[in-house]
Amino acid sequence: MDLSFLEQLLGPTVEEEEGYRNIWVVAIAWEPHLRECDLQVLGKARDLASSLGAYVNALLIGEGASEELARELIAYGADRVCWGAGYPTGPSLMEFVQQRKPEILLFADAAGGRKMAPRLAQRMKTALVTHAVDVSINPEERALVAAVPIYNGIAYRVVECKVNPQIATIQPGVFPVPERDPWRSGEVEEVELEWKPQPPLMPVEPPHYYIPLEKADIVITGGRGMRDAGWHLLEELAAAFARKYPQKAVAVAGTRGAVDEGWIDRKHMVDITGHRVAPTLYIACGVRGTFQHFAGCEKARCIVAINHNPDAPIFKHADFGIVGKVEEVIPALIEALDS
Amino acid sequence: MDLTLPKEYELLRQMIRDVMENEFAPVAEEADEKAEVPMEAIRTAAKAGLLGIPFPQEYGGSGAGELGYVILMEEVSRVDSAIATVIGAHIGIAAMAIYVDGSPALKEKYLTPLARGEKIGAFCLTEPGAGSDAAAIKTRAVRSNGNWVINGTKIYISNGPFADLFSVLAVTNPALGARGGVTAFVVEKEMGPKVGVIEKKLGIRASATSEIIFDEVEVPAANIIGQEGLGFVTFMKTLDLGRVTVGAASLGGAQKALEMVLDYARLAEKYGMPLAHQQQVQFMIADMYSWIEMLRGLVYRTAWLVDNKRPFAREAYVCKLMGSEIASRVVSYAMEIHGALGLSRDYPLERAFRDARIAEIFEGTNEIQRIIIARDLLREVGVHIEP
Amino acid sequence: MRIVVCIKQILDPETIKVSRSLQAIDERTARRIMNPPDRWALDTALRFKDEDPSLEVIAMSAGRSEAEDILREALALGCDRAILLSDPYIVNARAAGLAMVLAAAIKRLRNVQLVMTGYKALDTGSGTLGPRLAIELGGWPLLMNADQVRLESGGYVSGLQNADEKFYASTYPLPCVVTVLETPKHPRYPHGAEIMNAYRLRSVEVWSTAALGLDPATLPAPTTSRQMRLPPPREFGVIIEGSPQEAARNLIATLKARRII
Repeated sequence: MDLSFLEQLLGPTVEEEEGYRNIWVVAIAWEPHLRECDLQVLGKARDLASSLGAYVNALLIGEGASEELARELIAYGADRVCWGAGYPTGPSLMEFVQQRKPEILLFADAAGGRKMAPRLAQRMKTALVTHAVDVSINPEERALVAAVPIYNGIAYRVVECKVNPQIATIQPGVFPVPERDPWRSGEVEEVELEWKPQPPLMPVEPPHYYIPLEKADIVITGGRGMRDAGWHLLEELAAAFARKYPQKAVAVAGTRGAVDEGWIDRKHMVDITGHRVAPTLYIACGVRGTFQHFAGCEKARCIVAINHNPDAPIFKHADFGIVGKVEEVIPALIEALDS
Repeated sequence: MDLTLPKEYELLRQMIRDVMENEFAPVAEEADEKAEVPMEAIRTAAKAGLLGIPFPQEYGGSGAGELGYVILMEEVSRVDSAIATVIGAHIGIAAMAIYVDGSPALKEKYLTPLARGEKIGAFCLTEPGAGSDAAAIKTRAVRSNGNWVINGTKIYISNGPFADLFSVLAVTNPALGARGGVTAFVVEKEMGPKVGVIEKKLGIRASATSEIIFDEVEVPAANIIGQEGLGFVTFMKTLDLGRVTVGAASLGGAQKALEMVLDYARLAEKYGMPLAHQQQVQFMIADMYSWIEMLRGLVYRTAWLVDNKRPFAREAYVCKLMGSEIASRVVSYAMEIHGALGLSRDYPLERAFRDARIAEIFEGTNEIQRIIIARDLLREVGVHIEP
Repeated sequence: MRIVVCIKQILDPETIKVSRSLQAIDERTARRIMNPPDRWALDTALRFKDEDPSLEVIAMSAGRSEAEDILREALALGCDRAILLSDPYIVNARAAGLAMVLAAAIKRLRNVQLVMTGYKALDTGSGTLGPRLAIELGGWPLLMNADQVRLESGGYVSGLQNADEKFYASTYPLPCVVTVLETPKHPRYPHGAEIMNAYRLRSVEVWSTAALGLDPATLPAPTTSRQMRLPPPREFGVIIEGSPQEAARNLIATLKARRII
C-alpha cells in the first residue's frame, strides 16, 4: 500500500536550518525510456525514505529525458522530479546538489552513475559507497548504511556514511522494480543545467575472448543423467543465463560420464582429472556426484544440483538441490530466467 | 646464518611459476602424449629469460647464479619434469660447459645466444660404449688445415633433434686418454652434425632425445672450450654443477606429488571415511614431507656453496643421488595412495611417475654416484681406490 | 611524454581465508600481489612504450612500505621509474585523500599526458580511483572500464568502453585518465635479468605528503566508517521443494537473494 499521502499530510519530520534533507535519485535516460536499474533504485529509495521521514526526489537527465518520463518516475514512486534533456557538466551537477541539498543521493551502479557518482563525491569531498548490494538507514545517525561485497564476495563490508550528502551507487538487479501507480501525483520541474555535448555513442561488437572454463562465472555441467533429456537442454539453459546476465561468462561442461558417452569433449570435463573450476554458480544437472567430480567443482561459491534420485551423493555437496527430472526442471529454470 | 630468500629471488620464483602454470601446464599432457617439445611455450619462457637464469647478464643471462638456477629447476619440474630436462640439458650442461671454461670470445659468440634462448644447446658426451664411464669415449677429433675434424656417434642426447649448438667431447690424443687427450668443442648445427635415431621414451616424453652423428664434421680451432686436452675436466666440472639441479628438479617433482596426495586424501573416501583419516596414509604423508624438506635443505645449501665459491662436488653428488631417489619414492607413495586413479593417463600422477625414473639414471647413474661419494670419503682416511 | 600507471598492492583473493571465530580475513596465509587489473594497465602502458620508446612510463603506488615490492615488479616489467607515496597520512587515507595525493604527485612530475589504472582493485576496491583522479587533475576526460586501449596520433587515446554491458568505441583527447579492464590472456612476464636488476641496481623513490607540499591537516578525513561482515556459513543439502516450475522460480529467487546472480 502506498502511504506516501501520510507523509505529505505530516510534512517532512526533519528539517534543519540549512540542512540536507530528502533522498534524491539520479535517473538517466540515454534513450526515450527509463532504465530498469534506475527504477529499482527509486523503489529502494522509497523504503529508505519511510524510515527517515523524507521525500523521494529524482533528477532525470540524459538525451532521452522528457516531461513524460519525469511523470513516469512519479508513477514509480518519486514525489518530485527535476528533469532536463542533456548531460550536465560536473560543476553544474555539483551546484544543483549544493542547492537542493539531498541528505542521500542514489545512483544505479551502471553507465553514467559509475562515472558521475565518484566524480561528484570527489568534488564535494563527501561520503560515497559504490557497488552496494543492500542499503538501510541507521535512524539515530540518519546515516545511510550500505553492504558491499569484498574479496570476490566471500565477505561484505558494511559502510556507514558520516557526511552529507551521502552518495551511493546500487548494483542493478538487487532490488525489484516498484509497482507503477498511474494515479500517484507529484511535482515535475524542468531544470536548466549546464549541458555538455555528448559525443554520439558508437556501439561495437564486444571483444571476443576465449574464456577458459576456470574463469567462467556460471558453469552448467551435465552428467549421465542427461541421457533422456538431451544435451541441448544444457546449452539452452546456458543461453538463458547469458541472456539474463550478459556480463557473466557462462560455460557448459560435462562429467567424466558425459565425456565417456561422447556428449562433450574432454576439454570441457569437470573432474579431478579435468578442469577444477571456481565459478560463482555451479549447476550440476543429472550428475550423481562422485568425489572425483566434487574435486572439480568444490571451489564454486554456490553449487546447485538437479537430479531425479533424492539419494544421489551430489545433494550432500550442493547448497541447493531440486529433486526432479532434468527434462522438466531445466525448461522451468529457463522460463523462470526469461520471465 | 640468514636462510631467508632474498626478495628478488622470491619474485623470480613467482615469475617462473606464472610462466609454468600459464604456458606449460595447459599443454603438458598433450606434449607427453604426442612426445613433442612444446616449442611455443619454450619461446615464451626464453623471452622471460628462463633459458639463461644462472649466467651473467653480460652474456645474456639473468645473473641469478646457481640459486636462481635451483629455483628455476624446482619450479619447472613442479609442473613438468620433461621441460626440466629440456632446460637442464640446455643451461645446465650444454651452455654451462662453455661458461665454466670457455674463453671470453667463445662465451660472447656462443653463450650469449644460448642464454638469451635464441639458440638451443645440447651436451654430447654419452656414446654407445661410454655412459657413466665417460673416459671411455671413442669419438675422435683430428687436426686438419688448422681446423679439427670430428667423427663418431653420441647417443641419448637430450635436445639433440632440435639443438642449434652442441658441446661435444672428443678424443684428440688417444695415447693420453682422459688425462690430457680429450678435448671439448662447440659445434654449430651448420657445421654438419646429423640427427640419428630419435628415442621413444617411457618418461620425459615432452623432451627430445636422439643420436647425434659426427661424420667428417669440421670445426674451427677457436671452438675448443678451454684448453686442448683438458675437455674431460671441463665436462666433469659441468656435470658437478648439473647434479645440483637434478636434485632441485627432483625436489619440484616430489613437492608436486605431495600436493596431489594432500588434495586427494582430503577428498577421497574409502571404507566410509576420507583417506586423510587413515593412519597408514598419514604415515606416508609424514614421510613424504620429511624427505622433501631434507632434500630442500640439501639442495639450497649446495647452491649456496656454489655461489659462494666453496667446494661443492660431494654435496652435488648427494643432491643428485638423494634427490632422484626421494622423488621416485615420493611419487611411488603418491601412486599407492591414489590407487587406480594414479595409473590413469588422464591424471598427471601417471606422467610424474614415468618422468621420475630418469633422474636415477642420467647425469651419472646412482650407482656411480654412490661409488664416487664412498671413494671420496675413503680417500680422506687414506684409502685410494683407482677406477 | 610521460604515462603514470597507478598500481595497488592487494591480498590475493585466491589465497585469503576467512576466520569465522574472529569474523575477519585471515591475512597470514595471504599473498600480497599487484592488483591484476592494475597489472593490465601497466601492460597496456608498456605496450605503448614498445611502439614508441620515447615514452616514459612511471609506476606509482600509494600505501604501506610493503608496496615497494609491486613497484620493483613494475620496474622489472619495464617501467622507467617507480614512485611510492607513503607516510602515516597516506597509510590511513581513503579514496578521496589518496586521489588528492596521487594527483599532486602526478602534477609534480610534469608532462604527464596519460594516467592509467585498473578498473577496480580486486580486494576491497570501489573502482573510483580513475574518476576521482580525473577531478583532482583538473577535470581530465575519463575513459572508464576500457578494453583494447590505443594511443592515437594527434594526441588522442581510444578504447572500447564498457557501459551497461555493451561496448562503445570511444576516443578522448589527451591528457586523459584511463581505467583498464582485465582480459583472460596473461599479461607480459618480467625478464629474469630485469627482476634481479630491479632489486640490485634500481631504486624506488619514496615521496611523502609533506614532500609534495601538502598538509595532511587540510586533506580529507574519512567520510564513512566501515566494518566487515561474513555471510552466514554455507549450509549444504537444502532441497527446494515443489513442482518443477515452483522449484525453479524459488531457486532463482534464492540465488538472487544470496547475491549469487
